[in-house]
Amino acid sequence: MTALALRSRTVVVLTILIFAVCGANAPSEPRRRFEYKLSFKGPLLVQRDGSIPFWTHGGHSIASDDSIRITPSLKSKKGYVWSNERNTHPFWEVDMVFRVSGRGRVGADGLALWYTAQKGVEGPVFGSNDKWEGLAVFFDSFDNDNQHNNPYVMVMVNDGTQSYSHETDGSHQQLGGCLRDFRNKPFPVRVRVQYYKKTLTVWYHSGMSDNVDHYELCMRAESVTLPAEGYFGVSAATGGLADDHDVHSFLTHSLREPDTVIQGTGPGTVLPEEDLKKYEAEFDEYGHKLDKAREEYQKEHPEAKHHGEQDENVYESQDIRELNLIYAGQNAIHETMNELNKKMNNLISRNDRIVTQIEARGVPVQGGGGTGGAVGIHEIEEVLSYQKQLTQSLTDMRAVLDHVSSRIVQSGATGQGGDNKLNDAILGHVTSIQNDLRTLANKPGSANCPQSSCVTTFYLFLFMSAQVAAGVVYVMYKNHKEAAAKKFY
Amino acid sequence: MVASLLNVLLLGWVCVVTSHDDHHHGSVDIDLDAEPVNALRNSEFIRNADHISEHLKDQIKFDPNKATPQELDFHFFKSHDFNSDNWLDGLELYFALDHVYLATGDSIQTDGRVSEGERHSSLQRLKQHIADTVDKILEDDDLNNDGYLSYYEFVESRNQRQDIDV
Repeated sequence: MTALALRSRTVVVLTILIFAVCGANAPSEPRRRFEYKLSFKGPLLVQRDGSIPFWTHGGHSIASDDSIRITPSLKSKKGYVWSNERNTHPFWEVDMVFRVSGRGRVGADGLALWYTAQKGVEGPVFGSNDKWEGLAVFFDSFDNDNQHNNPYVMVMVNDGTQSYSHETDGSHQQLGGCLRDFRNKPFPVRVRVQYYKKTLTVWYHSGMSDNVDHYELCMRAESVTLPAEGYFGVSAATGGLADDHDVHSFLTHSLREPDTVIQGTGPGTVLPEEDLKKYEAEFDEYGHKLDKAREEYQKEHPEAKHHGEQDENVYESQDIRELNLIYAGQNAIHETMNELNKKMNNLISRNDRIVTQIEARGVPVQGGGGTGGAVGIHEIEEVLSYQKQLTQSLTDMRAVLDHVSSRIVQSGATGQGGDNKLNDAILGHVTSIQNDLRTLANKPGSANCPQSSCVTTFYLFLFMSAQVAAGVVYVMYKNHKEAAAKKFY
Repeated sequence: MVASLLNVLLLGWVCVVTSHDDHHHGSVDIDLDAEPVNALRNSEFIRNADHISEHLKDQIKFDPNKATPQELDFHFFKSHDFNSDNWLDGLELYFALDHVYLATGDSIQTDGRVSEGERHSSLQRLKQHIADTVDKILEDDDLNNDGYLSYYEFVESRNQRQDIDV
């Protein structure tokens, strides 16, 4: 009865555990929505009047179709671009694609990505104002404190009171960061900043390849409080040394928990599978048709520029070509390493899975509040050592048995003659005892019988009759006495 | 009301497309105070052969008369997917509409009868109107609410077009 109750409780506990695990996995992937009013991107970035939709740029920044040059590579320039719309989403993720390039081995000053309660104004901190309220991610090119730790990616959260320390490159004020050289890369550098449930995470893409998946973790901090509503912005500054600071795109996604009710949807959120396939097929068909038509047009009009091809590709120099080849080689190596790493991780996880399976099978689950399921490695080791001890003692016993049997065989072989002697002696004794018995039987009533015990038949009968007479007299006397006692009453 | 407004828009737009390079076109006014409508559900807006031809110029030999309506839909989608990721996001829709309302923008900017300040505010209202239209499109057609229109969602919108009186 109790065992049954315990078992059912175990099942309940396990079920809850399973649900808890599933529930814990799901929120790790938030739902994303592209917020176009908090984003800009090439290849179509500016409107015909030179403005960026939903953004305002100023200072020495120059906006073009492909990118915004926050500062040109000229001395002592400052530039900025700020979103017009205020972000009201509690959780968000920003992907910024940018390039910092300059002719010098060292560049300056750097670029900053902002999320602040108020729009920034031109100022001393990477082209924007000091004592900001909110988040700043600095791409600090120049080594002001001479610690040989630049270019550096630094994250700093300010409550509006701190003043950025230029002398120390803010090294005591930072929330986190990573040492990365983001200048003069073959491809644009990317940074991803995510703020989700008070956790701030920054990923960095080195710009060594155009594969957008090659992000690596730069820093992560928990319990970070940022303004609930604020503005996104990018600013940059140059000093005595100067770099071009170009931002190609700034893409903002709002994040929400997967189970949040979707607001503002269209007719329905369920997409019928067969329609989806049909339209995909239609899209592919027209896509192939378009590609074919493009090729044909290219053949007929060889002078026409190939769609999507950049002008500078025509003038690619020998050096650039070699450099690109080297980068391509390095990327291939990098990718192979990544692939190997992935496979290795796969193997490790598979191994872990097998181990847990073996553990789960090795020890039967006992109804005890769900504790029977988990088997530690030390318990297995204990069992193994017991087994070893058992085998050891079995071997010992076998050795002892062998010894004993060998001794028996030995003694059997050597002690054969001794036994014969013993038998002869016993035989002799037995024969003498037989002889004695025989002599005894031949001499009945000899000196062995004592004289007093030999009564004759006459005396025997005499004694017997005397005893009977005495008995009769006694009974008669007793009857007489009892009769006298009765009379008395 | 809506239909007449759209007709005005389309007239102006066709005008722009045909005389795109020289910018000498008649003044077209958009009623900026009107409610934004879902432009994707307007077949004439999407399947405008001249507009598509304009985009495909220098790319392929395109005969709009031979193209099926579905093909025009495809080319509208593909032409405004500027980063070729097979999604139309809000910014791409914004620039698609901005292109279409080019005439209005130009007429506002070259209007000599009003002051610089008034021209600026009219331009701001036009931009706001475009943004509101994009919001309306996303609200209607972005079925999974991810901020992107897939080709599926785009074509689903095409199937909803009969809802709108054009």
